[in-house]
Amino acid sequence: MSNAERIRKLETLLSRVTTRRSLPRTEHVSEVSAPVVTTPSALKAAPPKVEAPAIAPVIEAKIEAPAPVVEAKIEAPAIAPVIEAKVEAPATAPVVEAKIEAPAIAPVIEAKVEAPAIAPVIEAKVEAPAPVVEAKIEAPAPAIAPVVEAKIEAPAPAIAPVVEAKIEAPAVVLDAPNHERFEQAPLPVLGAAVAKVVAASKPARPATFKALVARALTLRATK
Amino acid sequence: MFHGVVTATMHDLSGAFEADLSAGRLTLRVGAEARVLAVPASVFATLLTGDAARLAAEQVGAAVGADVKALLGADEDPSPETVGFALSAALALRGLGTLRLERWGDALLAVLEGVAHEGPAFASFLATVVGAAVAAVTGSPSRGVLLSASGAEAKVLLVHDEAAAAVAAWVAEGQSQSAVLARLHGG
Repeated sequence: MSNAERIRKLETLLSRVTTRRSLPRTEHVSEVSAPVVTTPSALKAAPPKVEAPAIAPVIEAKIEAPAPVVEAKIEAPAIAPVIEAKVEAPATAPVVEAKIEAPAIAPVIEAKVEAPAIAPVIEAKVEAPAPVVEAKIEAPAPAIAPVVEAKIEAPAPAIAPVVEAKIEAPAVVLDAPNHERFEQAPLPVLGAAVAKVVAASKPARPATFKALVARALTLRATK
Repeated sequence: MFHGVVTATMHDLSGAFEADLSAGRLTLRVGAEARVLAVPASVFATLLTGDAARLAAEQVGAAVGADVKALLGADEDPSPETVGFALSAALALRGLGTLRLERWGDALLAVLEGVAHEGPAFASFLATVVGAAVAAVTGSPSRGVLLSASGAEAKVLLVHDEAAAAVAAWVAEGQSQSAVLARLHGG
């Protein structure tokens, strides 16, 4: 999706859920100071999901949505423990496709997607095939900031745990350079800067236990 | 709290443990039938010294591995989730707590919860049990090295037999879990 398309998508969304006034985009967003959003027909009220189909303990996984939330998901389809993973939209913010996913057997601790004010968040993601500790996507205050496609991805080039990686967006974030390693990313993000933290390569997860063990046993104490 | 489920078909666990009070007999019937003893964990832990502890752990691990295979039935090459569940069930049947698996990079970590007795001797015993069980299930030279033990939780790193001594030495030096994992990956 190009920036222009993102902006159009955002403006379309805002025009549906904020006010009927036709204003420049910034003012238009600023007008949304009251909980005007109920359930816009333009946003499908897809039921949020909390899924843990494997043997993973999931502790305090939450999806709280007084505002419209479309396709918000917390998924732990493998044997990963997920502790305090949250998708929250406690104000008037629409959250579209916010996801916290832990598709591998990695622990995810306190991964959060939060939109506590009136900021729309579109396609915010925390994906964690690797261990993620306190990864956050926040759009806190003054909260008139749209966040478009903010991502924290940690496909773990090696063991690459992500510790306290944050994307904070009190200002508009529409695009960002793609960093190969999260260590290189200047976080937190203020203003129109980095919105993506992407690790280099996604390791294939062995489909069977024997293959998983065989892979683990290739690691040797060489140093 | 939400608990997931494993949908794979497994051996029926009903009747896996029998207490025949009239005969004074406790029996496990998962893999091979085995008569067992109910001994306080604190008493058992006092017996875990020297080579005898290691040999006992390896034998218990082999028995747990046999139970896992029995639970898995005809599934020759099951998924990590399925084996993780079977391992946890086999350990639980023997009162050794429950287990979950974590993957850190390529490294495989077994986290034991509900450990019956606190203390390094018992935790090391469990580490050897888990390593031997995984070796029995996979036919691999797997060893379990105790990374840490705190309260009723113990973390066991599953490594190649030839790497076990070095990893154990790093842990003994006081290196953190992340440092050990990074070093194991060549970092």
